[in-house]
Amino acid sequence: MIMDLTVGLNHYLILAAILFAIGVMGVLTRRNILIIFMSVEMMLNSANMTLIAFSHYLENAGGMIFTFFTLTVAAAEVGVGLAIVVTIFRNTESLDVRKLNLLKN
Amino acid sequence: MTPLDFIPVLITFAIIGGFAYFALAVTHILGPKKYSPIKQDTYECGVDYVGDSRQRFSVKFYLVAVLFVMFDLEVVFMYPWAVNFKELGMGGFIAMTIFLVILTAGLLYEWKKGALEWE
Amino acid sequence: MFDVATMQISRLLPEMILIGVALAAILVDVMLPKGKSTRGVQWTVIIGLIVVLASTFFNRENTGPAFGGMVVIDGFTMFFRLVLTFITLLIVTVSETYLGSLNIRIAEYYLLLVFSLFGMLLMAMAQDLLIVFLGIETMSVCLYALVGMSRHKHASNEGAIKYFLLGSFTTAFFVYGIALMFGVVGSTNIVDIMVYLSGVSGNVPMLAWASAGLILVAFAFKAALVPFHWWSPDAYEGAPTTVTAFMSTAPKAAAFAAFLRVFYVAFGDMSETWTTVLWVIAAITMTFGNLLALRQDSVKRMLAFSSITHAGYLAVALLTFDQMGAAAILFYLMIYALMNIGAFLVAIAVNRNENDEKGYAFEDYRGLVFRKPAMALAMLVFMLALAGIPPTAGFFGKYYIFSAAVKSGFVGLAVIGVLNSAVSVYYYLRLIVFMFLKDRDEASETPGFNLSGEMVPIVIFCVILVLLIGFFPDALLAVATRSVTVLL
Repeated sequence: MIMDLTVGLNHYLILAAILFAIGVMGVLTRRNILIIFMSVEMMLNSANMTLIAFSHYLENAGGMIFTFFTLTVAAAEVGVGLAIVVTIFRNTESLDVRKLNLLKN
Repeated sequence: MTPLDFIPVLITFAIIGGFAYFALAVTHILGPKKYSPIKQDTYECGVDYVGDSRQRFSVKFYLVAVLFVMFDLEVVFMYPWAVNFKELGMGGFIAMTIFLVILTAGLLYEWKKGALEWE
Repeated sequence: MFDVATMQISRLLPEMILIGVALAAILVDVMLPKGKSTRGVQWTVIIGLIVVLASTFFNRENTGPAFGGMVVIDGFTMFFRLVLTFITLLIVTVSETYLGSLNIRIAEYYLLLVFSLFGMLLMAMAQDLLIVFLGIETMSVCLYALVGMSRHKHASNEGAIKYFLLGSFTTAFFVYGIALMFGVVGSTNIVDIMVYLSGVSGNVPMLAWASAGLILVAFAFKAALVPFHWWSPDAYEGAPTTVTAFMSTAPKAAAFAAFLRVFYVAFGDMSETWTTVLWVIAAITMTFGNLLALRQDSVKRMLAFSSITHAGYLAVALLTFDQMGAAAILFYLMIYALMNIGAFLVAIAVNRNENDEKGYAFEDYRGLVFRKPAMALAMLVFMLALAGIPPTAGFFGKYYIFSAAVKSGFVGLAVIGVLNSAVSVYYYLRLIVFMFLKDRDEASETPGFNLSGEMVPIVIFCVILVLLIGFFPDALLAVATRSVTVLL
């Protein structure tokens, strides 16, 4: 009764899917801009993980190269996003999305 | 594989958990308790801390951090190129030069706009 | 193996010129003294964009894939290259005075416009999901910053952060979708995906369905289709109005370009399913956008909601999945850009105080036709065009879309669309009615108009083109039809 404990492709994919779902829940339920932002980063990284897992098992480097680009793009997003967050904080002294309700239908 | 086969696993868990609580309880009962200001500190040794961790930082730190992240990540593209330098040859070199020229324009922009000045 | 000659770089000449322009503009910005730099950058960008247009024109025979099939330069790419560059050129030309009135006369505005244009061009020519992703991101990151440009205004901050959070949220969906597709196909190339999906012939793996769904969500978000539209009214209202005019036209066009390429070429074999999903999305998008636009008292916000409706019409054309529908999309995108930019420019002129929270009210248009007949006439043309009333170009745009839908058998959807455009006539005509109402108290201060010098020729130009295309729609339609032959 030796259990097969090797970690296969499916394990990576399931872990990535779980991380992605946690990220989605974080975005939908959290109220602090920075935490929402961290949840988004987690979603991106779970996608990266999927890419790398596939890349490894398909023996195709394309997925890893894609990950490079995702990382860089995420960094650019962080730069612009944090700049917006800083301006908001200067104007409102708060990072609660519930207080951002100036624009309503 | 029947559920009974998992009993050894359960026993292992019980032993691990039991030992952990046993060790905690024993040290709690037997250990001497001497409180002093140093022991109450966040860090018992090392440099004394200053102020609260929730204090605000100057926005300059943020600027430097973001610039660092940007330029840090560009290196991601240089590593694969450096590893395959010979195979990529002249074409790769030209491509990387263009990449670096664009990057340098960005650096020049930051510099002239004063993003690198501390004061 | 790696050879510069095989990459066909010359096919991307306009894009390379564009990057050169952006770098030159950066240098101009840092070299010139503070007060003069925006004008200098503006002129650099205007000249640069004209050169890009010219190089597109003279390089038009040089078609085919480049960079090993990562991008493809064909008629479709050319069409969008011209339209997108043209829209950016219009916006760059009219911005300077308006930025001055907002106290945000900074050169980065033009730089961000150019970089986002570059991202949109990438989206239009992408033949690999990696390039689509890079294009979307290059465009979006610039747009986030552009929306938050007036950084001392709450509305601008708020629009920017909402757009940013939801935009990066959908980016994650997009990357995850691409990752799954990579796992199924072993490549992110659109042609490889098409070959794979037609190879399995109807027996599409579950992961590919999930992937297509995630990618559909991402595109629906970028094109502001309901229920992925939450960001758009807020971002449109918070942004400086020239940015709103830009955002409601060019990125929408680029999103539909990538949408068309990915779904028509790569997911062509899954069309039966995604057309059904889009049917629902299109129907609720048109209706929802209209219902909200009806209730607005601000012209800017009304145009923002109506742009959701227009995205719904475009989605109707998209799901026909044939040449006529695709051509109708291209046609509509072109004329929508003209009429929407024109309408926004007049709205800027009529608005008396940018820093007033209650700006852009319908009330401001009361009696406009007596005070400023030319401007009112221009607005009349744009409103009629947006409502789709002949003889303006807007009529033919809608006509082509709905006839394509009927021809492909989507009669129900076409009926919903026509009903919706009938409803939309109400709020467009409401503005016209306000313009023809007499001033209640003529003695009261007449709002100071600031249709600045550079805006006048652009507005006139938009009016003429909207009318001209209305009288001779066949020429543009022929170009659009020729452009989409590569897709199907």
